[in-house]
Amino acid sequence: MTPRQWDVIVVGGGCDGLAVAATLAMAGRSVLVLESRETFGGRGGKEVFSPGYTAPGLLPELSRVSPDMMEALHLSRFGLTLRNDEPDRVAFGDDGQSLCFSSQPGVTAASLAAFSEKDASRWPEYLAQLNTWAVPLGRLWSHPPPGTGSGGSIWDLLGAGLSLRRLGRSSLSELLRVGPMASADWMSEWFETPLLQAALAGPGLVGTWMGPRSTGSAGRQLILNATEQATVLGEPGALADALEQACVNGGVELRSNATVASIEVDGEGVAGVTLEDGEVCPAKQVFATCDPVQTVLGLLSPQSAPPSFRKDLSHFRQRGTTAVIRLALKGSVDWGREGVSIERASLGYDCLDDLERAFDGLLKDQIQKSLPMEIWIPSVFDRDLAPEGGEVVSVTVTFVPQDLKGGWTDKKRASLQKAVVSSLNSQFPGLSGQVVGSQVLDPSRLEENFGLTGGHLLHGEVSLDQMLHLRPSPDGAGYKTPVPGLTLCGAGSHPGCDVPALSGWLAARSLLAQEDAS
Amino acid sequence: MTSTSYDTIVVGGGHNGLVCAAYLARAGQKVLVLERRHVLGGAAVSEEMHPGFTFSVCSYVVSLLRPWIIRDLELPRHGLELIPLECSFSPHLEGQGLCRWADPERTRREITAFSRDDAETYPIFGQTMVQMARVLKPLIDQPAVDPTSLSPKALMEMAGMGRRMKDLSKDQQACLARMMTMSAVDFLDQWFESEALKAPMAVSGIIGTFQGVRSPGTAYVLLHHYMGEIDGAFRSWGFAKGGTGMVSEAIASAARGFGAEIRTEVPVEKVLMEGDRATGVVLENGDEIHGKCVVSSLDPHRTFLRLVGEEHLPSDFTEHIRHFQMNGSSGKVNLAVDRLPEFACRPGDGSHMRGDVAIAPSIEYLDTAYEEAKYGAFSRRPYLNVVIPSLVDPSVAPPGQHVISCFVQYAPYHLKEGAEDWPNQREAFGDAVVDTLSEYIPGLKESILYRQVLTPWDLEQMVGLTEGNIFHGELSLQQLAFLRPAAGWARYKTPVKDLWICGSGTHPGGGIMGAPGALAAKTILGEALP
Repeated sequence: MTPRQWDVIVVGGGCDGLAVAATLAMAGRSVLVLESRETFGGRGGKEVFSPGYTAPGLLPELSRVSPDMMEALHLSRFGLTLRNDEPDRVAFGDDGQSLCFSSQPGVTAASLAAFSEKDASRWPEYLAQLNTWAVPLGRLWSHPPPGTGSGGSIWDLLGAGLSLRRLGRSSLSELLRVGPMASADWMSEWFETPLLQAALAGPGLVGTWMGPRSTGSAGRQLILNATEQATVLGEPGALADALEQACVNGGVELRSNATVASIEVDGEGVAGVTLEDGEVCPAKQVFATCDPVQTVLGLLSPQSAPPSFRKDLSHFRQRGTTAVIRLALKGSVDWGREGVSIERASLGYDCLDDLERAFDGLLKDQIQKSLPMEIWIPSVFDRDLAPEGGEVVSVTVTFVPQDLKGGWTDKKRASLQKAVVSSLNSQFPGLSGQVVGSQVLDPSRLEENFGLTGGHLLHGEVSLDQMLHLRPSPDGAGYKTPVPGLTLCGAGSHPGCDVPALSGWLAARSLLAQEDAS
Repeated sequence: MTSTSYDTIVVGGGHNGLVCAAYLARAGQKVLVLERRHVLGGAAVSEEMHPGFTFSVCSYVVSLLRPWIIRDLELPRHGLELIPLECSFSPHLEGQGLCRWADPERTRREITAFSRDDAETYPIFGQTMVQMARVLKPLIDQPAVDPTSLSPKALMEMAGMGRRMKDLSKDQQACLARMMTMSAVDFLDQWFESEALKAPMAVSGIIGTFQGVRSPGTAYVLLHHYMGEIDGAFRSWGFAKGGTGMVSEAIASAARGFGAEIRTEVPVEKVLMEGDRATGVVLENGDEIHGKCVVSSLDPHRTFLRLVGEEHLPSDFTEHIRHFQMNGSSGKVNLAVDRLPEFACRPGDGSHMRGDVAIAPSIEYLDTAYEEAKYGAFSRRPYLNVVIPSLVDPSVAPPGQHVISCFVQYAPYHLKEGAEDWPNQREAFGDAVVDTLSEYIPGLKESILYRQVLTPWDLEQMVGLTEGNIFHGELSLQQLAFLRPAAGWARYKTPVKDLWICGSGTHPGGGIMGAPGALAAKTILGEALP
């Protein structure tokens, strides 16, 4: 019996993979999605990490979504809606001080004014500046990288150029100045309160190999702001669920626990994939949404890809810098800020130098004594994630090196967790007694559990030289690759690192557009 | 009180001020140069600090001085003589260290001792860098292109730049993009495996900046090393015979030859304003000198915040200038010694010392040096770039004795105790440098006859470099090209009518290049650009 032939095989059932499959299935293609894990959704999928406690994804940033894609894939039919408020965030300083960022009018300003009247008065101006730039950046981050040819036609390039031009000359100059700046410099230009400077710079550093003094960290802040304009209700897991249902609805064949061992290439291009158990699945198109290094250097045989392409990918940097620690709390904790529901918080840094010192640890493959933490409490919003009265707390710890001296061991993981819990406990007394379960995902565990090379949360560093048309390499950036039939469209492609599912959707659309054209 | 009026008054007699004056005088203008110090040259000066010893007090090597300026001003006729550096030596505490020579075969053998692969890659790397430098080089020979401008001229210039980029292969274009954004170490990691080679190479990416070798955006400075040209040969650095002050002297002599008047020990207090127009300068002693046009070669902070004053500037421009980062990060220690130093790891006749010597034994060493500086202390074991010019130019020291010039990084201007604490830490800083060097040259301390220590504070006090920044402002991406020193004001013109700028704080930036001075003069004259 000849094996069944698919139009398209998607490697990796994360949000990008599901978006590819849903899009192509809607266009009538037969699609097979192969996911090595038990569940779909990848980094954005829901996961039970302790009995009775569910984490709705690895990072809160994974709840960003492209409204265009939502509409095109009719995701609202599968229960997905946009969130119409912004979560509040509190930045706790070590000395008991705190700053509150809230979308409720006046709250942020009052909180800032307690530190500095000057900063409070500059705040609206700062937000206005960010929002002006969010328009052209948002456009760039919702299209294929300009100039790559694939879907990125000359019109796209012109469109991107025009939306930048529309800023006006002085605003555009300023954007070009700030983009490659270091957060520390830019924040010091705006504000004088050390905690405020740090609280604004901190989230931009998550998953990057940059300290606040690194070139380009200010640009990261701008991109994060531009891409967080639309988020889904119900955290990342809701997006993954809706995409999965769209796939089922479209007749996509979804297989979990199916690990791809290699992508087969013959004289004409891609011929299909072979699974670890030896099963061969033929297809002329393969969309790889696992990280690009794994795809090109791991799944393709050396003869299948041009040496220059392989060389570029071997230089793609994926040094994990972050750990995620999930805590299951049996009872509620007094989060201590009246009138503000704390869904997001940051802790462990008072000033830019604290962040920079933590970053220094990466250079030495050490974990520094004080760790910057971004805290996410999804159960505040979604009570179903924890049993009655309990809470789910997810802590993103920057900076934690992938190549920790002496390697990652259970002992080191336990001591990292201990440090995090004790730091939380000093801010929220009584918390440590409530912990009934936990999961420590250091970079080595992220690599093992999620198949992220190097344990890099974003599939690869987001430095200026690994962005846009250079992500992951000049030859592979417009999703198409030098290997006919192979498409790269995970978080290792633009703009997937910042908006989940978007690379996959754009790549699928560009295939359809080409097929229409020919 | 003088009643003579000049066409142009140039404030500051550094090399850029002098170049600008020479070009203006050559075109027939009546030009006056005013220098605060008793010597000309600014940071490019030679001074006899100890009897018989001439120090290149600040800048110590010449590479980027534009050949067309040398030609236009006939500098060799005015005494400029450049002696190429013969090698680049990186001593180690164990083993022989690594010396890169002008002779490729000799370099290959040296590198092979550390890595066979690296030895093979090294010349290929060099070729790639040279190709890239050829594309970029025109950028430093013409005024900055402003990508935000829609004027036909700017669009034409952009198109021209685009055409040059097209000459590069796709690989080279990607390589260029990476160089502009990656850290020096990340970039070199893509080519080489040996730390002994990577560390001294990487460190050339951070000279004069407040960045570490692993800070993104430092890779492109590596290219600068391949842009240097003397006698048209790429990739060579040199000493000026008689010290770097001779470069300034030669330019001054050329300027005088064209009729420019140059006065020293004349400190300028203010730019004289009449309404919104600059009409001359006010000296510290209260005298006024009038000119149709004033050109400042001082750094942007000094020019605008001190000489002009905020009251005469648009507030958003002042804001830009305030944000223009100076952040000096380096110092200089000059030694007069009674014998030829001998490196423990490589004794001998000293041929390996006829170039520059980099104390940069490993990346970790450089990381640590930077880490200390980030939080406001000088590096206890700093990166040193050492030259011994007396080996190739006997005129700068008595027979048998030598001058050792040490460029030292990091020495942050802003100490955690405050910049004004530098005088208290000056000797400790000097000791750190001598101690570091002594580890490699055991008998050094006993041989020292005289020691001059220049902290960034001293550079500010003595030479007038704000915050001791040797480039008149950080050479970071946000302060280059059309953004240097402020968006829309990178073409030597300023918001004040008849006031121009021509120092390193404008495009194309620092180093003994002369380009800002010459391009400013050509712009003022409305001449065709090179």
